[in-house]
Amino acid sequence: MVLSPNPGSFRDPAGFIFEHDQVIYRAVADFYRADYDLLMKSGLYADLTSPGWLIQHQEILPPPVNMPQGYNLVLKPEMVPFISYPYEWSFSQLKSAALLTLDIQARAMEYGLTLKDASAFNVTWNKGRPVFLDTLSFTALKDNQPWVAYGQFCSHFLAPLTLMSARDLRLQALTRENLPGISLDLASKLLPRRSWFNLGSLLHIHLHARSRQKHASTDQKATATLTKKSLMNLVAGLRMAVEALKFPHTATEWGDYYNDTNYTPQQFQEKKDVISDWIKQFNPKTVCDLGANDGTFSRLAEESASLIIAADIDPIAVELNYRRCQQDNNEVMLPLLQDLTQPSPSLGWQLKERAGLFSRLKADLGLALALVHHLAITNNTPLPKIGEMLAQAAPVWIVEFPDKADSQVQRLLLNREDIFPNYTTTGFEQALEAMFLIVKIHHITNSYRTLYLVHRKNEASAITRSPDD
Amino acid sequence: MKLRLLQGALMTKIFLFAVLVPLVVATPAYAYLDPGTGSMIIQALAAGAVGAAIFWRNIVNKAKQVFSRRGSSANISDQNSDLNAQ
Repeated sequence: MVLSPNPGSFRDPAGFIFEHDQVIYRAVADFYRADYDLLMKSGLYADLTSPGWLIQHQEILPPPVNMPQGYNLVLKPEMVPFISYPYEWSFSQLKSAALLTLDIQARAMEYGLTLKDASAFNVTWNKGRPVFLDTLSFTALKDNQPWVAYGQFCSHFLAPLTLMSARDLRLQALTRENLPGISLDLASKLLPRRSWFNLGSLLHIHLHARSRQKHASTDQKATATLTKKSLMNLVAGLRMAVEALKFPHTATEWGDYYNDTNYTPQQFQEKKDVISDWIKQFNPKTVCDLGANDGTFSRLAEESASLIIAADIDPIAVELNYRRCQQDNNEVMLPLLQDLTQPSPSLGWQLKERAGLFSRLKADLGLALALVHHLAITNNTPLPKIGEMLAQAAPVWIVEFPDKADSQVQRLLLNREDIFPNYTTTGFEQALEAMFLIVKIHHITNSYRTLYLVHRKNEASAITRSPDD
Repeated sequence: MKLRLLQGALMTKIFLFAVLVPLVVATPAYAYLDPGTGSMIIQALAAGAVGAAIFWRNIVNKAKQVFSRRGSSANISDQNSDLNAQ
């Protein structure tokens, strides 16, 4: 059996991730063993895993495969069904992940350990909460040693959050373009002048950037020393700086996202009832909702699903969804920022470190409501290509199609030439039928919108088309 | 409560700004970035600044406690426990 390390797991020599029989394992290097034992025996592991901050693991003896020399311990971490990345989170999700990292660092120091890295990719979302994945990030805290991960924390968390809060939410895209973190001199340049009068930005971004530039070409080893109390102060200061960052849009701007639809309350309820009914027939465990807005319709799948990936292009809608999830203690919803016209790509070393969206997104059932007209008209995507995209992610879909008479479609066509002769109900059904069998059709009463229940062809031989109205 | 440290102490901010900015002189950004040295050095300043801010706030709180007629002592113990909780 040949052991192949995960292509995203090579930077830290303390260990590596590998997959065997569809199970994820983590190999621990012998030289790192003392730090791992300290994590386990100091009580820190128990203290971090009981509130769900750190992923739980089992030690696997003997290892499931022959291990390379120097690796005698194998861990089996709890499986996370969908790994999401920092550039796919809303502002408050990224902020929660930052606070989790700082809280873990603060707790680790109490036990005489410290985080040796503070990458945002160490955190992902599981059961509605951020969880720290890298069990091998902990190392013994040495006397008077500065926090080696401080610079990384600022580049991975503080810089994007401050840019999003003080300049523009869309600057989050910089985290996708800069996997090692946003350079602090770039963040400093992009931030508004008023950020110089904010203690957190002043210290951790502006002065930090200048200190890095000043010492970049020095031959001298860093001589800074910090007592444990100073380190505690540093982490407390970072926490206050992160806590103080506010979402840059006010509640009035995003009061009720669904007020902006053309459904009457009766039609809205009819749509909900039909979708609920159709979802129930399949009892899906994993659901993806593409164009989920604030997750109103995604929530219809909560009864059966253990994971609902609710993706939307609008960072305000994703934020709103996340806030609702927090209020409801929602353990199944994962709000996700995603532009389907340019979904998360494969990134990093040999394009294998971070997986693209469609290699991760495998659901039992998908929802695509109020989505097709945006893709077809705003992005000029031919309808068959939309069917191909859906078929990649799930075998069963509930899709909404608004025809050209619909006011939302009219609005998209208002100032442009109508170059969409195939954008008709018939054209859409033909496009779907290339990949799917249409199982059910429901026309929303007195509207120009139709709901389809479709099943991927190769898995749908037993199902026949049966319009229910 | 945590924010009060930052929001309340405008004087501290001005003081820190005036003192800290000249300490670290900006240089052109042409050099290849060293991931460590600059970050190591600035965090001593950052930790010191937070320490100073906490010290300053404690003085302000003590003064408030002395001069206010009633009600502030509960407020202070609140803030301290909040700070400790971090």
